[in-house]
Amino acid sequence: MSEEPRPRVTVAHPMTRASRSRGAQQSIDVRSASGVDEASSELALRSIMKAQGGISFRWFTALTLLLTAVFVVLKLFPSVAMVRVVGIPLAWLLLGGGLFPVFVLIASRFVQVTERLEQRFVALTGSLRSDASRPSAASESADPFDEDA
Amino acid sequence: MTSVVAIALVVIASSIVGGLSLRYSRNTSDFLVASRTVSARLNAAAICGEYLSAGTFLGLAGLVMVFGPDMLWYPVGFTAGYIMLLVLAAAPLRRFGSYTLPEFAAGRLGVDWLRRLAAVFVLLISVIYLLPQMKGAGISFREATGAPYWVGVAIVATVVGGNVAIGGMRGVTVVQAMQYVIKLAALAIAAIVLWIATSFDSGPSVFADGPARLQRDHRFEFTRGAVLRLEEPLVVEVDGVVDGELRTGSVTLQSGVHGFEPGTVALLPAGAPVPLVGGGYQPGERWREPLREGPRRRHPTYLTISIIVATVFGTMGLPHIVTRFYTNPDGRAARRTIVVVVFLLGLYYVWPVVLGVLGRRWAGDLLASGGTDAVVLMLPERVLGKGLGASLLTGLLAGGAFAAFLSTSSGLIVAMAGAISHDLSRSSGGLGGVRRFRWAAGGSALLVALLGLGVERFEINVLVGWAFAIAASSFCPLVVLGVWWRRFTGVGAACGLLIGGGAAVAAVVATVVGTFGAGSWPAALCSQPAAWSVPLGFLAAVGGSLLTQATVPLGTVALLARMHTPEPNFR
Repeated sequence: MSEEPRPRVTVAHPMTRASRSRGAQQSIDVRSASGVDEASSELALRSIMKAQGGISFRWFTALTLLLTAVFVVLKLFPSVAMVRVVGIPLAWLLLGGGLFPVFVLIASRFVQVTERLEQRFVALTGSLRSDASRPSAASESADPFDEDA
Repeated sequence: MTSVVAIALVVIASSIVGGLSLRYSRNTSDFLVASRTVSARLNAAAICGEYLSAGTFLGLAGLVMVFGPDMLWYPVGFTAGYIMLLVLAAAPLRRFGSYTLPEFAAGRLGVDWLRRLAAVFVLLISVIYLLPQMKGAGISFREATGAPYWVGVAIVATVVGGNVAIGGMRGVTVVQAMQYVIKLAALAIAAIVLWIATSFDSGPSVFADGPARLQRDHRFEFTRGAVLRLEEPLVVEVDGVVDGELRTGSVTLQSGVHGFEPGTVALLPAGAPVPLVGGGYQPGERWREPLREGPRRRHPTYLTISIIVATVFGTMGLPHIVTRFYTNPDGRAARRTIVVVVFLLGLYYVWPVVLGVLGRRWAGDLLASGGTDAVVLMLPERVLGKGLGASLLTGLLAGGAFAAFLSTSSGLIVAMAGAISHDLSRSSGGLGGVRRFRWAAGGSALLVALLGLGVERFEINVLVGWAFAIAASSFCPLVVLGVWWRRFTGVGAACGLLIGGGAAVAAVVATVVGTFGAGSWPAALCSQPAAWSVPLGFLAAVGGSLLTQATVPLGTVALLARMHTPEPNFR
């Protein structure tokens, strides 16, 4: 989708102070590579952060509720916890194996959702980019946000 | 004998694969994060290989046989901890692009002294996590060969220190992936074989009611006072003081409670309930039910909640785990790696639980002697009797156990050496950096081996739990707030580390020293501090930040944007 080669991002040696500021330039690269003016890119960044935060918060809550629910059932309904399924008490079955497939489902579903969001973001900045006539800024430009630069 | 061969094979294979990678490890980047070229599946196996320590290979089965289903929250929490890491921090952390937690702290908050403070906590957590690995190595080697405790400790420390110093992270990635497979195979094969053998046995069901019973005649030499609770009369051979009277020879004990004085020797027949030894374990009549109180287990509801908090929030604060994520090429790969990790962990955690349940059925006498950390290694002989089958299985398990000690210790030594050579000392990288890393790795291994000689009396999983509790109270607030909160400051981070992490450390010290009486509320609060110290860490970090808003680093928005934005090459 890019009609000109994008500036390469160097994975810098991170042991030095300089590398930290170079890391910050990577974020500039995203913006400059997308060729969008500062204001609308800032807007896009804020919106993706908000969206990512929303997804993370929802899934964090879901996982917390799941664990809490299991704990509360075991605590308040000992008779339910001791119901035998194929000869094994439910508490043992649930904690010893039953929760793990649910965990895999939760993890893979979260990855799907958040990757879809990121794909939309890339598509969005890509389309903004083709609308914008302005050429991309030099990636070596100083980062106004970075104190080390 | 087979055990020695198996241990030797694992140790040698680990060294050779580690050594082969020597020629690939050229610069600092290779040493610390394998130059970020590791594929998601290999990386996931390596992460699991590193994560599954003595705590779950030996300690978990031991705890399950003593305390029952509450202990199953450990594996559940260990796995859920990865989902928390995935949901809250994995991709942003990777996109930030630093190697270690101290570097993340300093880079994100723009203050260099924070790096050294965080490095101190890295060292603290790593050491506490390494001690149970040393204990596991010591008792396993003793179990397998009869050699003294220190020999196993020395072997693991030498191999790990050498391996890390030579190969660094690149070396240990392949080795750790291999070690995951060894551990999984050893536990799964042993659990399946022993479970089938048990199902052919005519004895009581593994989830039967009542106290643990002796599977065969057992001779107890009580070094401390012991209590035997009988529901029906029992004939025992004794030599010593029973119920206040000096008795020798055959004695019929009526139903009721009987006391044995220290120094008494008693031969209890098969089928007798396991006696409760002073300071030893509680045989637990209602063992199979969750959240039950017992003489050795007061406040089970609080303790269990605290274990859940520690494990769920501690994973993202473990220095060797977070380092491992930087070996992913980008944030997206970091996320996908975790899905595979969660799957591989679920596949693994079933088996120690099965072995713990079988352990109570076949090795109840360990409840009285307190040697439950070694139950996994003893089971084959208990179930199958002495013979080739048992000997092969024990060898397999001993090999797997050593794989566990080696892999976890390697990751932790890498984290320690990284903290010492890059975070605590002012570094400029390059060849000097590699040399310093090697020296730091060797020194760390030596230090941990020496400390490891002194921890034989602690339960493996208790030590592991403390490492998680401290990680959850110190680094979890730092990581979560660092990833999501734009008003976070360096002082706030330091408050979180010092107050949250410091409180957890103080609680652990109070427990080790024995400040509070066993069974009291303060003792419970200190033995599992996470339920209060994690919220405390968050409060301190938020409070400290709000008081120092003038010092919010200028580049915060740009940094956060980078952490939450797909990489430029994202497709």
